[in-house]
Amino acid sequence: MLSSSSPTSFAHPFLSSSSPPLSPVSPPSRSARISPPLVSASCSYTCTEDTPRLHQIPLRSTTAATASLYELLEVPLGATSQDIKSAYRRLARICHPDVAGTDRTTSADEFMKIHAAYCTLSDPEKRSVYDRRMLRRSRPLTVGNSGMGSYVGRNWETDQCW
Amino acid sequence: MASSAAQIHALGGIGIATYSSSSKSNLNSAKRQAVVNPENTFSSVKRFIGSRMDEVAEESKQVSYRVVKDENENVKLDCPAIGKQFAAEEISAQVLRKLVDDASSFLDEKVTRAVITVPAYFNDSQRRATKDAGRIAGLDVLRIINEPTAASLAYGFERKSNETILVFDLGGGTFDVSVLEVSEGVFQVLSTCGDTHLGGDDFDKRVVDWLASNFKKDEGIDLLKDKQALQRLTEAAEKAKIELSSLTQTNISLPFITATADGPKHIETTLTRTKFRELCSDLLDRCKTPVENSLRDARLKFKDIDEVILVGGSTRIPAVQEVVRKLTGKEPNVTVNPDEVVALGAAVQAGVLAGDVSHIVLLDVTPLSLGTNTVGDVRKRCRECTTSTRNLRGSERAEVLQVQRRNETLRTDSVMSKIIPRNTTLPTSKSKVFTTVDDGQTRVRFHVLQGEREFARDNKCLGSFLLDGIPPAPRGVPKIDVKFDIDANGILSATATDRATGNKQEITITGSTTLSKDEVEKMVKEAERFAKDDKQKREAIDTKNQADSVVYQTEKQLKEFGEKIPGEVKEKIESKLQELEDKIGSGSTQEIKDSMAALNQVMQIGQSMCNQAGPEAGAGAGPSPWR
Repeated sequence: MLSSSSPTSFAHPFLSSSSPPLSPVSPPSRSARISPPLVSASCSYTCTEDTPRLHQIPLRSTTAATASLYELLEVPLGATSQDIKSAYRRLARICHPDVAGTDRTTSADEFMKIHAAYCTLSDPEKRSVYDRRMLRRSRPLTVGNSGMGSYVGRNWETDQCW
Repeated sequence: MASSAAQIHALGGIGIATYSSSSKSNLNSAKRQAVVNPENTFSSVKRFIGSRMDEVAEESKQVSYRVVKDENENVKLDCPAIGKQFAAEEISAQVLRKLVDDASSFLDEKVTRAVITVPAYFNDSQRRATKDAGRIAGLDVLRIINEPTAASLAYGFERKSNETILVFDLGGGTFDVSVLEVSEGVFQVLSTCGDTHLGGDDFDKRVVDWLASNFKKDEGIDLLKDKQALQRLTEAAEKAKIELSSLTQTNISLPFITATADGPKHIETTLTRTKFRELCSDLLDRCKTPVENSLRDARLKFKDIDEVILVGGSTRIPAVQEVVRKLTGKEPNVTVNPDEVVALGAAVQAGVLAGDVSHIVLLDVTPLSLGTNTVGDVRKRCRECTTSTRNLRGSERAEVLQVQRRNETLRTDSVMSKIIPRNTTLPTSKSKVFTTVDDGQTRVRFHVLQGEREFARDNKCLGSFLLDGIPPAPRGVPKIDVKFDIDANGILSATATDRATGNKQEITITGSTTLSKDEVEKMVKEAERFAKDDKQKREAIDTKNQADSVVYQTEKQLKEFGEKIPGEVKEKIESKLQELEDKIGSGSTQEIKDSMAALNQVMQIGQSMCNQAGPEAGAGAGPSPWR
């Protein structure tokens, strides 16, 4: 319908002068997704972790068992709560399915793990419980796997409510 | 449909990826129409969307049009002018379509995808219904986002500092409060709370009731029974409310509001700000609870809040601002435009989803708890009862499932067992272990429930599914994992797995509970047809306008430059011009277009002639007017 106006409008000075103001609006200046390094970093992060984890609950426990919550959030053991918060935010900006772009289900899984880790470590009480357990077992625990070996399928859920 | 007698207005804060202010003119024209044609003018449709009749009984009494229920107890809006009953989704779709059209013509680009906002406290059914409305309007709905969250996106978009903010969103029909932490581009919702039945309309209603009761006292006539008078009262009440935001008192004048045997009756009165506050005092009190609850859920104190942002037109009411000030001890931030900020935020989120905006991510929460029906926690209910939990490991919480054999509906005594608590960050996936309540029980029906109430039937039931083929075993022995997932798009799916057999049943809740898939399809088609009609009508008008202007221009130029072109060309132009004028009077859109093209051709000949003649005539200075 709008295109029908163009043949005539070009011939007439009055009409044609009215069309230019519209044209600069129409080509949307879609800036490319900024910061490719950031995105690629997210890919490497998800790729290394993800292939075995997807839908493979038994496998997940073996591969993820090696990653402590601290490792998940990429913070040192003695990290302050501010460090943890900002690590969580940094990872959320990379892993959240809204921004991860490529594979939404994998990034959702990834994000949920990170969120669970953050929930435990950002709460001083839960964190100290987790730290004690980690010390006692002298090996890192998986996300939310509250030490009940038979129950590995639920490792997105910490046994506390959050 | 928009061209028929039915008109639509006021979906409140439906924000769309691109905000266009021209929708306001439609709103005003619909408001004017509301007075003369109250039964066919729909307003506050948002209050009915995705709801069943029993949930909106109170609201349905307050609107000028007739709200009826269909055979499934779902809400329908009656439109006598065209003898049809509409679903709230269809009316919303019309509003969306209008907004999309405005946006499309402003951008000169087709708008096909949208981010639509809803009150944060909308339940799943209302959200899905809104999504359906988008589909009926021919849109691909990328995301449904919460209004207060959207507001925070718009507010925090340009800010770099770390802040904890409270968004107080009081719109026309709903009230939301959200507490967020905004930092390093991450907008993390900590908690959300609200009241889907509180808004500016309720404030208007108080004034209407006050006017009507005074009138009844003086004249003995109940104006509330007269739809036309009620509509005028409502309009006057809203106007008075708005005026009281800047004045301390206002006059309400409604001449000829009704008539008796003695002659016409008028309303002439004054409403002061103090009186208005007194009329609405309980509404103002109702604003407090969600604020307190959202802070409690976020585990924060008022002193932890850095900014309080007011969103929604009703936050212009001084008494509301006063409540916020008193409650939070902070001067509310009024720098954002309360009417536009939500739509702006939706646009930001649309940008994020499209990949145009980076370094921003919104971590939203589910506003209401999700769960399923059980007879309760065994360990809590009866320690000595025969139902055994000894087979379950220590940290596992087993709950006894409700027996559900023949009866498909919820038992009155079943309770809700929460699986995903409210204010859980999305996407999420959580599960719980359940067991049977009867010896030899082989099947269990799960209801997917949403809400905060103890008893299952008081919550919104989003759907149900049956897990069959559980091997017969003593009660309490079978173990059934029930897992709820919500993805980033807010799609909820529930899975129940019997551990012994690996049997699995799942349900993905996609359609709204008020419209079936077929109905939505039908509505999409209908809306497309209407859209086509509307488009044709609009095209006809546009073409005519364009042709008029071509005629005007041609005549003007013939007058100015006529002598510079040869006689036969001029004659040709004149004859084509005449033809076009005739067609404007009687011809079809296509004929007008053809005549315009024909005229255009001869005009081009004339143009080149004129250009050749130009230098000789010594008019060479400046660009030729023919170009």
